[in-house]
Amino acid sequence: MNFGFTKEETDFKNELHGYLLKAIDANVKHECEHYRIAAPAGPYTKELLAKMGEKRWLAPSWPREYGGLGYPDMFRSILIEELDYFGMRPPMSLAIVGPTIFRHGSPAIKAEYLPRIANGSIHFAIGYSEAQAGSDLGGIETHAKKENGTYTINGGKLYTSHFHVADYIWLLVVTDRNAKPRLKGMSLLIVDVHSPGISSIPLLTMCDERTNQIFLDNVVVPVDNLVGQENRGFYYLLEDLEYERAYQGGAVAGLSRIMENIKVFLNSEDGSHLKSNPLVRAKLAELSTEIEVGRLMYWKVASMLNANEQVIFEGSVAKVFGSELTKRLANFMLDITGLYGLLESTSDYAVLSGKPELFSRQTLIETIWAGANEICRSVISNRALGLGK
Amino acid sequence: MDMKLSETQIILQRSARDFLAKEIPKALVRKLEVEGKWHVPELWGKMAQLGWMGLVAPARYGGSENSFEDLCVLLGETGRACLPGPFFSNVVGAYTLLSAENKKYREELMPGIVEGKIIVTTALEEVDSGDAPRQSIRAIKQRDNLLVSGSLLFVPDADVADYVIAPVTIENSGRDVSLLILERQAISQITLLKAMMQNHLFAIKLNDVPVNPANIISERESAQSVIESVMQKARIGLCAQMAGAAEQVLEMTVSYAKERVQFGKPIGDFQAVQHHCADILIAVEGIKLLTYEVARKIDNNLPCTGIVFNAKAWVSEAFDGILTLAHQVHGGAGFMKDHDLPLFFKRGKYWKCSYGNPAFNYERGAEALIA
Repeated sequence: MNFGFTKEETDFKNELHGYLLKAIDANVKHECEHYRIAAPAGPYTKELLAKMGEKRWLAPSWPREYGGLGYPDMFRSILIEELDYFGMRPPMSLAIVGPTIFRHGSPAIKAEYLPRIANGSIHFAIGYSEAQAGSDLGGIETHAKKENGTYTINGGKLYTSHFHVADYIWLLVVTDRNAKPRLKGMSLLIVDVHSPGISSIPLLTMCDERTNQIFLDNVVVPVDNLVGQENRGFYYLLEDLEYERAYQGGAVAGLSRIMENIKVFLNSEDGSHLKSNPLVRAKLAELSTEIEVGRLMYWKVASMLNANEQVIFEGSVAKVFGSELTKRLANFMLDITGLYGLLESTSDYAVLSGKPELFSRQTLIETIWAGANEICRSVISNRALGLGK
Repeated sequence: MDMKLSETQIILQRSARDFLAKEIPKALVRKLEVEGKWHVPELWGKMAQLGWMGLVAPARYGGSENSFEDLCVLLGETGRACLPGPFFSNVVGAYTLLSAENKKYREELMPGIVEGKIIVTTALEEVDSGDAPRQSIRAIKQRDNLLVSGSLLFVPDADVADYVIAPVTIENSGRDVSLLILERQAISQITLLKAMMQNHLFAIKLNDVPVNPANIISERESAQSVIESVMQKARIGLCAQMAGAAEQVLEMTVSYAKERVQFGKPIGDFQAVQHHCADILIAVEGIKLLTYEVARKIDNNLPCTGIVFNAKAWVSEAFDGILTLAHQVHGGAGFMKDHDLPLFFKRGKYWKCSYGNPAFNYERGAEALIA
């Protein structure tokens, strides 16, 4: 086994780290901290991503013609871990949309979207979930009818995060209502958010993060906006899901950053009375170890992808472990800070910059999204253990 | 043995539940939170008319002399309803007045409290929560007066209370605190603490405020025993609110599991979801039994120092676990601001931290077990 990075990988990691340390200012930090769903939450983060795009850092593993550096896939995983360390979840364009277009898009679609994704000038909202279709995407109703070189889309989506800041929606639609199973009748379309017929209402989460409900009323897009083949959309989506799970749960660099802050707090005057408490110390050691375990689970998936191996259930392992660990860490922060931990960051008396209360709210969703942990556990028992098939 | 509520308790529970469901539905609670409001005077008046403010008060003040256990039944319903306002603060305030040796304030204020015309809160969080208090108030003697300065945090409902009872260190008394009652108007500064979307925790500040020494309602050693006895009821009162809230969360979660269809059937047909619901039920049962057992001990003056701390810790952790599972079953819907579940989530975190977090309470519980 080899757990180390190559010299090139280490250099890239260090360069990124040094850059982000300077480039992430208070504005970007604020946007990322208050919008844990994914980047970019607003203009400052968009601007930073565009600057990184100029350096070809956003899609390092794509060929130069698409705006990348032609590096191995490992560099993408390094990028995502570094962003996570600074509290920025990867933009959907890089995590989901770009890789799928790269693998399945027509030459025309690739030429149109990949360079702009790589230079950080366009962003995507993911349009999968609907009111009756969350864990069960087979239940989506939004329909696209093909005629005269266009698709006419009708339906609606729920929890469409980023719609209000994105340029396009990555839309899962039904293109064959008679398909059995239904998953064989779904396609992925790229839809401009400004297309006539699209409207939205904001939905606020319990962390005041904005997501959206969107309505699609006779929205017309050219057939050229179809990604890959018709009726294969769900299967394209599945290919990225295990990687998404790996970084959603397993990209725990952000947790190690939080752990660093906890240690600073315990060494400060406010936290010094806790530092000698054996319960606090045991929990601190346990969580630090778990963060290392979660990190290794993420890198296992990353190294498999780098070797072009198929990730079958390993992303789900990282997701279940990492998301539950994230909640445990949030609870730990609140447990050791007590009522002070309930204070929001703007309070004069806040400890750990208000992170305990915010994090305990934000992390609730992490065992739910990207495949609820119940679904992930079924994935593991079916695919890894052959149970319940 | 009979582990059921008594008939009168069932009547109290039903009438409170119906009243609160009608007067303060969850949609209204959420609306108030968004508007930054917490106390609803009209509702307060109606609650007073029902006799809630005097439920455990002696008859000579107009109270009905019910047991602490009966009060826990009512607190369960306020927990279930996510009742905003100073009801619980006032309960703790009234118990403090009733336990303190000072007669003057007790005689003056209790009838008004029972009628719902006077609200008394306490500033006891920092004196008995495990953390070395980071804030405190001190008094020095100056001619006939006490000159009081300092600040205290996490004072519930200080903006609407007519009186605040606060621990104070009087010069040369070392770390011993006495209990001082202050009119709200005498407090130099009352600032809302922005705390996990709650609108009822405040910082109070006193800048050299002259106070009549008669406002000391309990001194040193006796103040310590007043605080201990009041905190026992406060801790179990928190448990009682969690018991009622937990039962409601179980009901909500089970109905959602029966309604929400995915993969062609209600999600409650899946074993993973069934087990979450079963685990919630187990925790609800445990919370109710432990809470009422300890309440009964308090009513009967049985030794319960250790179990009070342990119950506070265990119940709040169990409630936290219930919320985690309930959120898991509700999925994205329960994560939205306009859902009822976040109301319980936020209160759960507050209840868990209030009067000491679990580690502190367990530590005190352990002291009683292996002193």
